[in-house]
Amino acid sequence: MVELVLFIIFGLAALFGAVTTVWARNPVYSALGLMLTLFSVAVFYVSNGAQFVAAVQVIVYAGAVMTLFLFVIMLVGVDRAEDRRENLPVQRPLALGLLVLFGAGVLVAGRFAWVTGAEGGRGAEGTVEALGSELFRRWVLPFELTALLLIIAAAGTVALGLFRRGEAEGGDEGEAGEGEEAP
Amino acid sequence: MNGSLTFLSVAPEIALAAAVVLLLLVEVTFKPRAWAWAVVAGAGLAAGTALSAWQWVAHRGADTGTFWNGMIAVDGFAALAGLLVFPLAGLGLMSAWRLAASQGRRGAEFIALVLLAAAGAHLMAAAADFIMLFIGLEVFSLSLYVLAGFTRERVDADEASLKYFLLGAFASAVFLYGVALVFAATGSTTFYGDGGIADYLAGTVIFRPGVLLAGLALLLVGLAFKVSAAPFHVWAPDVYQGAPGGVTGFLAAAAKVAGFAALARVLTAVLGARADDWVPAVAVLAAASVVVGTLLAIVQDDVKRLLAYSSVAHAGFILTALVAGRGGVGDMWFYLATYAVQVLGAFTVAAAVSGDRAGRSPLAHWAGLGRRAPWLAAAMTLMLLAMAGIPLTAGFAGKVAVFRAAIDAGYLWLVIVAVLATVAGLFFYLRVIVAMYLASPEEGASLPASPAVGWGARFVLAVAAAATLVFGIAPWPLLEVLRDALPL
Amino acid sequence: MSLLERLFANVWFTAAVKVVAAFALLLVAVILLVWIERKIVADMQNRIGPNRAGPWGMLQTVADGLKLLFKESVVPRKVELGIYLAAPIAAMVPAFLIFMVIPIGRPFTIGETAVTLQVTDLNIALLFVLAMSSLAVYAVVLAGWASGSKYPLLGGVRATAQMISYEAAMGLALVPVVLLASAQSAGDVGLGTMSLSRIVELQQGSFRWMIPGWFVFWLAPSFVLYFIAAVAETNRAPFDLVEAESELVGGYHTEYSGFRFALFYLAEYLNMFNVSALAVTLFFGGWLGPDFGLPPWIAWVMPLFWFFLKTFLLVFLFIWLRATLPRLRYDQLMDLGWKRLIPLALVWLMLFALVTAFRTWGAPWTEALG
Repeated sequence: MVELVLFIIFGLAALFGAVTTVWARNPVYSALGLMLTLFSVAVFYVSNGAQFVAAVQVIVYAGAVMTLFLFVIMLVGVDRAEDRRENLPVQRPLALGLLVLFGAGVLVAGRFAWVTGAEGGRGAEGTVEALGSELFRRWVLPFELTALLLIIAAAGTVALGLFRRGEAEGGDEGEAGEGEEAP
Repeated sequence: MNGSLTFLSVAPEIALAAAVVLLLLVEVTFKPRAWAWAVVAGAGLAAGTALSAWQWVAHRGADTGTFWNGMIAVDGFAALAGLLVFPLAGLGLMSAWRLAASQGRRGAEFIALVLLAAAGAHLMAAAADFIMLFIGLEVFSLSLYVLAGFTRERVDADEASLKYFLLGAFASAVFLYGVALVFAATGSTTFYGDGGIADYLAGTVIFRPGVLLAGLALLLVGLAFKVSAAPFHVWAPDVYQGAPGGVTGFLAAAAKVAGFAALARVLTAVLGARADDWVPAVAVLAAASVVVGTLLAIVQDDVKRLLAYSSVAHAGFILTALVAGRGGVGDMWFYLATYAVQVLGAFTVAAAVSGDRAGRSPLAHWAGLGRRAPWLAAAMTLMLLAMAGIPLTAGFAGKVAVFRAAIDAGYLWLVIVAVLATVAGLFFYLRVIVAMYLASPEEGASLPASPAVGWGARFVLAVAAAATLVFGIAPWPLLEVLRDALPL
Repeated sequence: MSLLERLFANVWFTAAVKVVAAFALLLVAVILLVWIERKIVADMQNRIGPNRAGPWGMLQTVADGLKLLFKESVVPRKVELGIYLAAPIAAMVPAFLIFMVIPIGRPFTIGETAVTLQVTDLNIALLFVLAMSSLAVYAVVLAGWASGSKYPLLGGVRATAQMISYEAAMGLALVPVVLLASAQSAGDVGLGTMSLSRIVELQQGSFRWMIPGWFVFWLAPSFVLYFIAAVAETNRAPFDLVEAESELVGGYHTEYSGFRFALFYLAEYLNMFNVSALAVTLFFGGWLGPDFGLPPWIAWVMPLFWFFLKTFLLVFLFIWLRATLPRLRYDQLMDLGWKRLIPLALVWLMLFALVTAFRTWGAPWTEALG
C-alpha cells in the first residue's frame, strides 16, 4: 500500500520532471526538472530494495552532475530563454507521431510479454556487499577498464581546454605548421 | 579456460595503457622534446603489436577462449584486429606527426588519445560481452571525438567534434538500448560459454522474438553509425571535413576497423543463430551505403568530403561481405585491412596538400599537383585507383572477394548494385586524378605553399603504396591467412 | 504490556516521536550553538558578546529568531518567485535529513521493544549522508539564481564549484572508514557496513592500552581531510566565499530577509552541527564513553552526554577556525581542493587499503592472494 502510494506520487513526479526538462524555456527549470526525475527514480530504486544504487544515483546525478549543469548554465548566461523557432517544421509532429507509435509498441509488447529468455542475473540485493562482490569479482575487468575512460576524459579536457589561439604555433621542432585558416 | 583471470588476454591493452600513462607522466614531469613522445608511443604500439602477434600465433584458427569471466575473447579474430589496429595507429601517428609536434605541449595528449583509441578499437574486437563491447566502444569513440576537434583555431573543427560527439553519444545510447533488449530476450550479456547469448540462441526456439529482434535492430543501428553505413552516415562528411587533416586518416581507418570488427563478431558469432533475421537488414544497409555514398561523392567539390562519402560507399562494400555470415568474415578482413591502409594514405596526401591542421581540402588545391609534387600525386592516384577497384590494386582484389562472398550467399542483386556503384564511383575518383594531372591552378588562387611532407608521412605513403600493390597483385596468401581470423 | 510499550511497538508512532524529538533537539542545539559561537568569537576578539537576554545572554538567539519571525519579509520584484520561496526550505530539509541517521545514544528497550536513539538505521547511512550533503548545494545555488541579482548569483556560482570540489575530497576521505569498519567487523574484508550505528558499535574496545578504539586513532589523516572538506561543504570560514561579505554583500542570501533569512541562517548551523556529529560518529566513537559505574538512571544519560560533548568540542573547532583564519582567495580554494586534498585523500586511501589488505590476508609475498 505504502509502496503503491509512493510509486504513484513519484511516478507522476518523474513524468512531470521529464516533461519539464524538455518543455521548460528556461534551462534552469530544465535542469531542475531533470533533477526531480532523477530523484524520483532514486525512490523507485529504494522501493525495489536497491538502496545503494539509489544513494549513488542521488550523489552522482543529483549531487554532482546536475550541480555541474547548473554551474555551466549560470556561467554561460541565465537570462536567455530558449529560442523556439524550428528549422524543420515537420520535426515536432513527427516526434509526436513516433511517440504514439512507441507507446503503442510498448503496450502491445507488454500484452504479449515478449520478454523471453533465461532468468536474468539474480538481482543484486542492493546491499553494498552484493554489489561490491559483483563489481569486483565478475565484472572486474570492465570496471577497471573504465579507468581508460577517465584518462581520456582528463587528457581530452586538458587538450581541448589548454588550447590558446596562436599558442599552437611554435612546436618543439621549431617549425610552425602551415595550417592556414579555412574560410 | 573459462573464468580464469589472465593478464595475457588483455596484454595489448595493458601495454597501451601503460604507454599512455607513462607518456602523460613523462610529459608533465620532464617536458621532454617531441621525440620522447615518439619513443614512448612507439614502444607501446610495438608491444601491443607484438603481443597481438603472439596471440595470433597461439590462437589462430582455434576456438574462442574467454577470460575474465567471459569478458574478453582471445582468438584469431581479436589478434588480427590487434595486428591491424596497432600498426594502423602507428602509421596514423606518423602521418599526423607534424600536426602533433606543432601543438606544443598538447601534442602529448594528442598521442595519448591516439593510443587510447587504438586500445579501445582492439577492445571492441576482443570483447566477449556486451558490457565490454560498450566500454571499448566508448573508449574508442571518446578519443576520436576529442581528436576530431583537436585544432581549435577553426570553427569547423569544433563543429566536427561537437557533431561527432552528439551523434556518437546518441548512437551509443541506441546501442545500449539494443544491449538491454537483447539481455531481456536472452538473459545474458555474455557472448560465449554456457548461458551466453550464442549458446542460448542456438539451443532455444524463441516463438515471439519481438524483443530480441528490436534489440538486434538497435545494435545494428548503433554499430552501423560507427562504420558510417547509410543511412547512419550523416556525421561522416562533416566530421572528416572538419577534423584536422593530419588525423582524419586515422579517424577514418580506425573507425572502420573497430566498427566492423565489433559488427562481425556480434553478428556472426553471437547472433549467428538468427542469421535469417539480420542478413536481409545488412544487405539493405550495404546497398543503401553503396548507392548513397557513391551518388553523393560525385557531387562533392572538396576532396576530404569526397573521401568521406567514398568511405560510406566502402562501408557498404564491406557490409556486402557480411551478408555471407561467417563465410564472409575473412573477405571482410581483407577488404577492411587494405581499405584502411588506402584511406590512411589518401588522407595523408590530403593533409600534405591542404595542411595538417586545415579542415577543408577543396579540389582547387589539387589542381596541378602532378607537376608540383609528382610523388604525392602518384601516391594519391594509386590510393584512388585502389579505392575505385582497378585491377592489380588491393582494392580490386578486395572487391572481388566480397562480391564472391555475397554471390555465394545468394545475394546477386546486392552484388549487381555494388558493381554498378563501383562503375559510377570511377567518375569521382578520376575527377580528382584529372584535377591533379590535367588541370592547372587558377590564376590568383591562394594555394597552400608547396606541399610539405614529413618523413612520417612519406613512410606512411610508401607502406600504403607497397601494401596496395603487393596485395593487389598477389592477394591469395593474405586471403588464405585471414580465413583463420574467424570469431568462432 | 504497558501503554508505552504498546505505543513504541507501533512503527508509525515511534517514527513520529523520533522525528519530532530530533527536530526539537536540533533546534535547541542550534540555538545553543549560535549563542556559543557568538560568545566564543567575542572572547577571542576581546569583546563581551551577547549578555542581555537571559543568563549570560543565552536567550539572545531566541530573541533574534523572534525578531526575524515578526519582521517584514521583503520579496524583491525581479525574483523567480517559486524557486525563491523554495530555496530556504531546500536548505533546511537536507540538514534535518542528515541528522535522521546519526545515532545519538545507546539503544534501550521498553519492555520487549528496542528503541534506537536515531530516527532510522539505514544500512547505507554513510552514503545517505553524502547524498544529502550533496543536495544541500541546491539551496545556495537556487537562492542565488532565483534572487535575480548579481551578488547572489556570484555566490551561487561559487557554491557549485566549491561544493563539487570538496564533495569529492570528503567522499574519498570517508572511504577508509568503511574499509576499517569491514576489517574490524569480521576480520574479513568484504563484510563491511555503512550503517552508522554499526560503525559506532565497532569502535568499542580499545586501540592500545587505555586508548579507546575510536577510528580516529587509525584514521587521523582521514579525519583531518574530512574536517577540512566539511568546513568547505558547510561554507564556513575560511571557506565562506559563498557569502563573503566583503566581496558579495551577503552572497546567496543577500536578497532574503525576515524569516527566510532565518532559515538559511539556521541551515548553516544545522549543517555545522551535522558534520560535527558525523565526525564524532565516524571517528570519535559516537556516543561511546565511560559511565563511571553510575547508577542506571543517570548512566542512561551518559551516552547522550558524551555524544553532545564530543560534538560541541568539534563545533568549537569550527568556531575557532572562523575566528582565526582569513578567508581563502578563490583560486586558493580550488587549488587546495583539487591539487592537495583530493590527491592526499587518494594516496591515503591507497595506503590504508594496502595496509588493511596486508593485515587481513598477509603480505603478498608470504601467501598468494586469493
